[in-house]
Amino acid sequence: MDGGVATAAPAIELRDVRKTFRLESGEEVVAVDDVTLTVPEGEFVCVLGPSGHGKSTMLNMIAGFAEPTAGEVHSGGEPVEGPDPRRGVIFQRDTLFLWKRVADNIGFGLRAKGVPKEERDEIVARYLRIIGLESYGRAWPRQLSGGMRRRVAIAAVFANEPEVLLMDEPFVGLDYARRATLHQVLLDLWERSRPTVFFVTHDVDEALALADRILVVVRGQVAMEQRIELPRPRSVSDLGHGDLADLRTRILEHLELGSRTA
Amino acid sequence: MRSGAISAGLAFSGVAIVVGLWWLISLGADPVRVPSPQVVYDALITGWENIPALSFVAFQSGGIKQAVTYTTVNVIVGVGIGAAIGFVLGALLGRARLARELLSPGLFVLSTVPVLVLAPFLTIWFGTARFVQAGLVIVFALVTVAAVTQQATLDVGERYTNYAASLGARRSLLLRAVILPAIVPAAIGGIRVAAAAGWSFATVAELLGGNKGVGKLIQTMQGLSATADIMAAVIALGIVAVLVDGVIRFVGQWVVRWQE
Repeated sequence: MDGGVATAAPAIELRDVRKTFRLESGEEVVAVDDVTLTVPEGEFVCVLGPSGHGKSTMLNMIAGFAEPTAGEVHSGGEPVEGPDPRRGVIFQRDTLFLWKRVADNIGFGLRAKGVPKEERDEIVARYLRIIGLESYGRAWPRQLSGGMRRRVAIAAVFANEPEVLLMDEPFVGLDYARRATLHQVLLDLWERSRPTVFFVTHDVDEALALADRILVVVRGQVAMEQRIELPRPRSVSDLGHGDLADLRTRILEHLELGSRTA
Repeated sequence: MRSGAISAGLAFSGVAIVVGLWWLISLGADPVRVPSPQVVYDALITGWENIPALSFVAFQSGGIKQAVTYTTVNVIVGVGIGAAIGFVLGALLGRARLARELLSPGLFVLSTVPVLVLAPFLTIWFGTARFVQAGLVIVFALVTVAAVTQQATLDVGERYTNYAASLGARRSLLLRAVILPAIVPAAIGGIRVAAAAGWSFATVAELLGGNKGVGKLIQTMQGLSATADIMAAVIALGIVAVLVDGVIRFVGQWVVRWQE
């Protein structure tokens, strides 16, 4: 936009973004309170915070599902003006189309793009292989377990090759082992195309395991920000020692403080 | 889940009990008022192809078969037309706010008016045409399917449409691949309700101003005190109704076999 600047525009940029909701009582609630933040291309950001403190609202504005009350939201240098296939979204409970077979769910974005059927089938088959469900292409979503469904949901978004991936507590409600498996699936896919990730969660360990950078959001503001240099995959012992253990404590203090005064 | 054999056995027993009670009652009753199952069965067999009295008194020829066929076609065609219009209308009302605000009050009023009230108007406007016989069925199917489809469309929810949009789906794909499949289960439920009630509306329409069908047959035979023929025709129609419902249910289950 400034012209002649060599650096690429950030994948996600919020400038003084504010979002308020009016309750039925007429009272105005501030969900996102004048937030400015940038996420450079290819970064994996985890947004941590208590429920109801504005994380999902930020994500919805970046996705183009909601408009900010004030401020600007940009993605790849362009203002966000509604949903766009360049920004894929994975929701808390998966949104697989129950009336479409697994393969058609994964190929939906490609179909919307107008990719010819043969090419589409090839790409879908590749993703089914990557997520370890090659024999489930013809299955209906109802025939899959919760963990399998989330793998399909992840594949469906990655198959569309988004530049930005927005994930809204995608693994909530799964047990520890399932979640660890899904983290691995997610990281495997992410390594291949390296989209920018904006990952919302309220689980500190999940954020520590995945993020290049952690943003702690409390009451609509970024309360704390920390970069993690440790390479992935990060083991359980990594999370329990040294810098990460300290970081974990500091984050929990912020979260506790936030919930106490809220 | 009960097995099919047990269900079939129970259904058969239920029918046997009803027929048994009927037979007991007929033993002590006037045969003109309550003919026995055997007499009704004979009436069904002899009157199946031809009931001569019908062509003297009414305008229809043939027997129970022709009357049942006429009424059945009216129900199936009526439900088909009504459900098709109702489905499109319901989806439109669910999706387009302008259409909803414009048409919903009218549709609501129409749904509260007893459908039978429309029968005289249909006869006055369109005479004894076949369209009138199916008219009540069409109106009822239209209103019922439109109502459930509208609600189902509203229930599809932003999450689904947002998700589809974030994958790049434009309006037409969103409608074809997301909204329509999502509302089909509700529409099938509405069609079953409409079809079940359709038999009553079709026969009553014939009573009120037709010259063919089971309704007309009943009316004619009532004048002749031929109770056995009336019961035979009603039973035949009932069996057809059960079969038609079975087909709708079977096809419906296949269409929404993806459901949880």
